[in-house]
Amino acid sequence: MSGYFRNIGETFTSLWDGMRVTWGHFSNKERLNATLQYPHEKWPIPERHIGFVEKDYNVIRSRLHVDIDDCIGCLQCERACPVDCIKIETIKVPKDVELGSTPGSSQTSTTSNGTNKRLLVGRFTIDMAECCYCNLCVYPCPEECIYMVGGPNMDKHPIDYEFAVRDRNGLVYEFDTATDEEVTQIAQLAGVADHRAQRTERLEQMRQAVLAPVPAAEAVTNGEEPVAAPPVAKPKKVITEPKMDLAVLGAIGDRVTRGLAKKAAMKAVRAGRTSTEVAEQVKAALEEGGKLTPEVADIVAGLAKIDIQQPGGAEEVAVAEAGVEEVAGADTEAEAKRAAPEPVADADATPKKETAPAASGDGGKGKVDLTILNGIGDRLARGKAKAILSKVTRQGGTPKDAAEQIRTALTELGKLDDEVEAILARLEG
Amino acid sequence: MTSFTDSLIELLGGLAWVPENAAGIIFVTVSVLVALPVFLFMTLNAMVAVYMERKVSAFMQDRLGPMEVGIFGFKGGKRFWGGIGQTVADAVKLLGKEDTIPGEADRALFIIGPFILFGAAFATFIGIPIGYGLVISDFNIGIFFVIAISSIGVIGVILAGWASNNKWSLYGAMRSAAQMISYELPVGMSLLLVVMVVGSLQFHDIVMWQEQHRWFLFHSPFTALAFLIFFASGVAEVNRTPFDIPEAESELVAGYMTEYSGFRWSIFFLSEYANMAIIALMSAIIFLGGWLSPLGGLFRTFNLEQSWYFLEGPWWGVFWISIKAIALIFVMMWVRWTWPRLRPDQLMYVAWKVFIPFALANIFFVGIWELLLG
Amino acid sequence: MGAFAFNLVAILVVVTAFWVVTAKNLVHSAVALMGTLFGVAGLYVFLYADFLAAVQVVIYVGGILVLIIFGVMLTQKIATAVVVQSSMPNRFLAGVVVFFLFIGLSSLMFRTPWHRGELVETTGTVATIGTSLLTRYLLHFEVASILLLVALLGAAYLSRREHG
Repeated sequence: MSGYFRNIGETFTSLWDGMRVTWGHFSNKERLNATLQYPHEKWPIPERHIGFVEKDYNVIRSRLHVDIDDCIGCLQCERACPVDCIKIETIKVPKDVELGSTPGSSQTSTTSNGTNKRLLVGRFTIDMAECCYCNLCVYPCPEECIYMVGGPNMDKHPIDYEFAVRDRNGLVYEFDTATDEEVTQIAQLAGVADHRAQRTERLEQMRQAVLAPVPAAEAVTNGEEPVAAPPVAKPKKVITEPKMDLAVLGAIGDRVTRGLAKKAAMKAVRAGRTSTEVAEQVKAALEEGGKLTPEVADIVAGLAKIDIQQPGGAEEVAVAEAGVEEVAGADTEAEAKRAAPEPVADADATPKKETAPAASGDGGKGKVDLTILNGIGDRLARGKAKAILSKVTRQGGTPKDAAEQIRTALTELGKLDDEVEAILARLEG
Repeated sequence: MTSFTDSLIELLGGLAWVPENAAGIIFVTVSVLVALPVFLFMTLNAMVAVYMERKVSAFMQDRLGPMEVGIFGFKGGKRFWGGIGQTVADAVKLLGKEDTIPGEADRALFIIGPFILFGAAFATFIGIPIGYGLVISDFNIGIFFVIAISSIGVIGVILAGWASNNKWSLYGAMRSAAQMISYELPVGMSLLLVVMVVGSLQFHDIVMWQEQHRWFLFHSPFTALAFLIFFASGVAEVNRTPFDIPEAESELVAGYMTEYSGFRWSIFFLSEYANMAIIALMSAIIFLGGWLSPLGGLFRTFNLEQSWYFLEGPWWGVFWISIKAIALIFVMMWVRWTWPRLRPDQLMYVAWKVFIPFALANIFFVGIWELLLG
Repeated sequence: MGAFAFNLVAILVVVTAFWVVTAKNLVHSAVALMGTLFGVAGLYVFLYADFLAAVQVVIYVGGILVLIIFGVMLTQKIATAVVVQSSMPNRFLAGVVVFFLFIGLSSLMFRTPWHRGELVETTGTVATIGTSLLTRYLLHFEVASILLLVALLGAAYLSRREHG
């Protein structure tokens, strides 16, 4: 019986305890409230845990930002981007015009580092939904104007708090400040008749590039062309001035010497000299700079053997590959139609480039077509064959030599069968 | 003593353009005119109470509750009391929802169920005054009428649970029925002692007695205890935490309401909050002096005859009874967000082994008290 | 106006009573019974027996009906079983019995000399009932309570599970 009453008593006291606790929370709601009314109020930006030293900096919490006034439109970041989330369009400003000289212009003529800006950046967008936070675009920037916000760059731009948008399109950040009028104006001054049409054309080309079949993996790039060229379907450029393959000069070890040599060679080529004259001029220039060693002289002498392509011809810029001949052929036709008033020029330009043993040790950049060997079924045999072919080609051997060597090697391995034999026969032919 | 219904009938009967012997027309008109304010009151009550519940629960859990939705661009206070339009939005959403009926359910009973519960709550309001003479219909058997009608609700609950053809619903309905029937007894017994002292079942007489003497809460220790028992049992009858085993979200999903959605579910909701208001109003009238001002006794001792000074009168009466009822509703919410749910056996233990013996003893002791001191 | 309301209540009683008899599902019958019991409570109101009406609702609707529904629901087979009312001989027998019952009741109703008292408006029957129960009918009252107590104890005894 006493247990019964004690039970009731305990019930009351414990209930009272509980209600006192909740009342304490109810009456102190102002102090105890834990809710942050998010869109209206925000926590202060977390200053720690992002890292202020480069190696600690966790860029995944960050986003790319561009100080567009410092951007010279060099496209380095666009090329560096592995996922193509950076899109830049530039218009070359004529020499006699200074950017930002017109009243009310949004542009500046120089960057904060004092570099003259020669390109008008008409478009600079970064799609942060595509960005993979690799940070690769940050390093090539000569003006250091593209960077991940926050962390070490805190003083340039604070970190974005939420980095949240209502629409996926909101993640495309537009950094360009040039107005349409400015773009039009500069385009007119630069002699670009219709920059919009030009852009449309470029977009169309890009679309084509996406639609076109992707070539085999071992794409060998043209030594002259910068990396970022789309794999196929790049249209033939109509050459407006004489041009020469200066890859030979890549063999010069000293950087300064190489630069000097190339500069002199370009100058000479533009001036319309012949190959021999070019070689002489280069030699003269090097002598003047005190960089002419016998070794270099040998290399430069090689220039005299190289043809100069005269204006009016069309040059195949993109990589066409023997292994995907059907496709490439089709492409070439299509491109030829698109390309231009001029009929397709010297048809042997392409094969020449590929089969000709690229003169000297070009640091592995010799033009080797390995795709022809893709038909070999056995993986080991294929690898061996390719290794030999590329080695032989680099050393200046003919495909015939290569085929011979491959044959011996594969016989040793016991991998030489009729199939491989047929392929090698094709290689020789 | 007049009531709303009496006045309406008199008014309509006296109008020149109302034809003679048009009993039917008057009947229907009066019914509609009488039902309308009750319905509006129930709706309004549910909306305000839901908002209050959300806010109270939020504050007790260090949250803010609804803060965004406003009415006509007005959100309410900035810091704590925002989001006043939330329940309106919820109601609109609820009415726009698809009304599903399970394929295996007993259609007729499934549809009738919520309306029986609603009807009980609705009819109960008819007998409850919210001020002197402010009652839909004044019954001689006031308290008894309220108890009788509110005992019907349980049928609606059982039918809803059974017709859903869902085992959780049936469990919920059975628990609910057992609980409601059990807790009707302590409710009746605690009211009995008030009736015994006053000698009348009418709400008006009870309040008059309190006006002449004192509030029943302070009548004697036994009535104070009776108030506790009545209030706790009332909370149990409304199926609110800690007595919410019929709904018990964590074990029975939502008890007898599991299969309901949209409009029918909102009917359940409406009835539940109406029942809350009924319990609060009844406690206020019977134990806390109804529409009497708490300051009344104080000022009367100073012989201040002007009623204005102690804030009495018909409209102040409405104010005071609302304050008391809202305070009691707040206590219900406070309790709900503090205490955990009882087990079914604990629930029955509390009803049969604690409340009922104490209520019986109360009757006895109050009788002695009245004999010796009354 | 009284007549109008009375008609409504009477119709409610008759219709729901008919439903009680004809419903094939026992739970439906129970629900219909609720209407009937309610209607009867309404009829009590017209006899100025407001207390009795409330008692009718509390005990029959709130108590006994709930018990019936409980019993039906918890007895597994009954709730779903359809009560068979189609057997021909049964129908015939029932028809005969009902017919003679109807004749008997009607003749009784028409032959009885109904005493029509004048309408007296009373104000509350609660006090009278209370006084009568505790004075004149005290014995009956107490006997009834003892009977109920015995029933209660018996139920408790039966439902209790004895060990050993």
